[in-house]
Amino acid sequence: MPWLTATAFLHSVMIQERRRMLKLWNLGLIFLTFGLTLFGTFLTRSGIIGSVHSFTQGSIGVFFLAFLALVLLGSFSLLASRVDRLRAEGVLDSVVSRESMFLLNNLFLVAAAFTVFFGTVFPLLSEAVRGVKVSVGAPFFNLVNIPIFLALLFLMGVGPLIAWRRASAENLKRNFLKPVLAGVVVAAIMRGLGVGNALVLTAMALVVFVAGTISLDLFRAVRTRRRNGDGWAAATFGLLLRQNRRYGGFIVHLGILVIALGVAGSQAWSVQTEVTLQKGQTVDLAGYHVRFDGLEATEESNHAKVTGAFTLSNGRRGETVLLPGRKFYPQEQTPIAAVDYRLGFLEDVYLVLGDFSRDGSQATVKLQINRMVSWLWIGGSCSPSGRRWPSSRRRGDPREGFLATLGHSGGRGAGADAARLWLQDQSA
Amino acid sequence: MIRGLAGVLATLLLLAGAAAAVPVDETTVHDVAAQLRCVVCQSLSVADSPSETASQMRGIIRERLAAGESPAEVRAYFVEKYGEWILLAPPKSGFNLLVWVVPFAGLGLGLVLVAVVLRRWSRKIPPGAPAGVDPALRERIRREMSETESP
Amino acid sequence: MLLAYGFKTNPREIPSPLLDRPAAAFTVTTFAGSPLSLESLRGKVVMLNFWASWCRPACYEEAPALERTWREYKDKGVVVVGIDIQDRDEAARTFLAEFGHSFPNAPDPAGRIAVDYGVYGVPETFFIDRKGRVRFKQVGALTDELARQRLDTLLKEPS
Repeated sequence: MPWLTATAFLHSVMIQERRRMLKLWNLGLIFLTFGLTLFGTFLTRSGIIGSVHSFTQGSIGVFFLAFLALVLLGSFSLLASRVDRLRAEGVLDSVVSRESMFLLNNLFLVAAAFTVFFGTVFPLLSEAVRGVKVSVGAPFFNLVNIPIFLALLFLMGVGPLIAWRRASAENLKRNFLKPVLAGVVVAAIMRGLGVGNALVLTAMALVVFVAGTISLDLFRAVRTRRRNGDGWAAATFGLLLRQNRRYGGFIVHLGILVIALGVAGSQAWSVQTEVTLQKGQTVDLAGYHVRFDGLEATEESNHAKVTGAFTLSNGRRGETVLLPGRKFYPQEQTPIAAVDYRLGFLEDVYLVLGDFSRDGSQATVKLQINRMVSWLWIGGSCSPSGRRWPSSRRRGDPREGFLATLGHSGGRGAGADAARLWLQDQSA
Repeated sequence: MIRGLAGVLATLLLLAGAAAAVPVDETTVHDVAAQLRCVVCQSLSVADSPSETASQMRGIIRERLAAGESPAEVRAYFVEKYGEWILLAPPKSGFNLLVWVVPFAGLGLGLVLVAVVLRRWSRKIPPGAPAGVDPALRERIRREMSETESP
Repeated sequence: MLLAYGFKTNPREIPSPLLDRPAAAFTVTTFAGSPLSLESLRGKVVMLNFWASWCRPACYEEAPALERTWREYKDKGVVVVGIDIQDRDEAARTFLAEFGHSFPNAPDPAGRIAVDYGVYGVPETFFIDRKGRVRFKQVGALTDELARQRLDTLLKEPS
């Protein structure tokens, strides 16, 4: 939740920077983000909600709740008392503009955060009102959040290229026609290849669309620099290093695209099965061939372990022996599974040992083939590099100077007008 | 592939002595299991949980599907025994409708708010109406800017 | 405010939807080899206890109490039945021998009976009245007093 509101802030602060608007909102987002980090800690530490992350039921919960209340009340009352100093100063000409895209971005991110919040708190609400315990888990969050994130993907493509204040039809066509077409074409190809899920297709089309807008922007900027005499390499690197905030942001967006592909792919293409095998028997799934070779019981220092040997082969990559096991701790009520796996760029194979016969002649095994999950990690690792994208120049964005002029002149005078006009032309 | 696997499964069941009235698709078992909450783990679905209890529950799901029950009937059976809590997403009825509706209602409300804010921004009178700018000045700015940095 | 309410509840305590409903029927083969069905016990008060040999320490704590309760009430129209879940035959028999259980115990290999009774873990004990309805559920180790209390209540009722 705080990550979502912080990301919203990261984007809307750009509006505040360029157009001096949304000051109240941005401060509110910051307070909310901090409040949500406290809330998250409170949830896991107080024991009021059972979740995968909670692990204690001490009395610290009461203190946390009090602290959270104090922080929220304090920060928002401070905000209320300073409202007059935080009035917006800018003007908008059209709904089709970068400002509105940023507003929508904020809306969707905050909506996603709210969804998570409401879903988390709802079991408590249900119990308080009806006395009936319900669970709110993955199926709910998937249904509600996936459309929101698809909308965010779309905004990711539109936002960076659409004009500030007012986007003309010309501007729209120039920047978005080719990426939109590319997205539609790819979706059609995927449909032809057998992907039926509408959400997955939409996600793929949007990923191509966003990648298209990013490449288009990069290509045009490099081309302009080349016109001024730079070679391809100098143009590209010069650009990337000088407009570091913009291109660092693009790298983070590209990382998100890779993650989106990972999520969509794993939804569409992961398969699994559970089967009981006799010794020597095999099972086939998605081109993988798994043979049960036998069981082995061992005594470790603090537990007993039964390991199953399974030979995994899929033609291309040769054979591997996977050893999923079950660990029996004397203190634990149920045995703990030790999963074995083979990770890959496109596919991860997991084997989980289930029930087995005493004499080792038979074992139940769950075979899971997760596709595209590595992409989640790859995409995630793009994020830090994007954020710390280096800059070669200390002066920064030339627009900074123009904004300063606007600010100092109080928005009046020929200089300010000229500056404003130049900025307007810039984004056309 | 899936059909082949169902065939293997049906054969295994026959060998085990249980007459499979309906060949059970493992994907269906997985789908039903993914909607049920594992009772011994925290927030894992019966499909994902490696625990023995979950494994036995998957077996029961498989049995019931094989006996001809529909996925909805299997789910209803578990709700009868464990309460609404066993479903990972609350049924879309009664009080529970709230959890499904509120996020979307919130989103709708938000869209309305955004529209209102945008309209308010558009109507604001700018601090100083821009005076007519000398085209020569505009041209000079353009020239100088393209000399220094490209966007 | 809502969060403060949360302090009063326990996320792990889930009330059973089976109370006051007919107990699910079952037929098992006891460890001694004889068949046993719930139907055949209609008219008597049944104390149905779910246990496992790996369930430490709770099942080990309550086992003597179960046997004592059985000995005290078996002539009063009460039957104690033990169902062993997710266990190995050898380990289960060792457990039974250790406590000298004289009431019928049977394994539930596929977990069907456990799910039929909405069992979350062990030990859990269900008190079934003469009409075959589940009336009380005890989660966790059973004590002599608790068992006595429940059984006395149910024994007062007509069949």
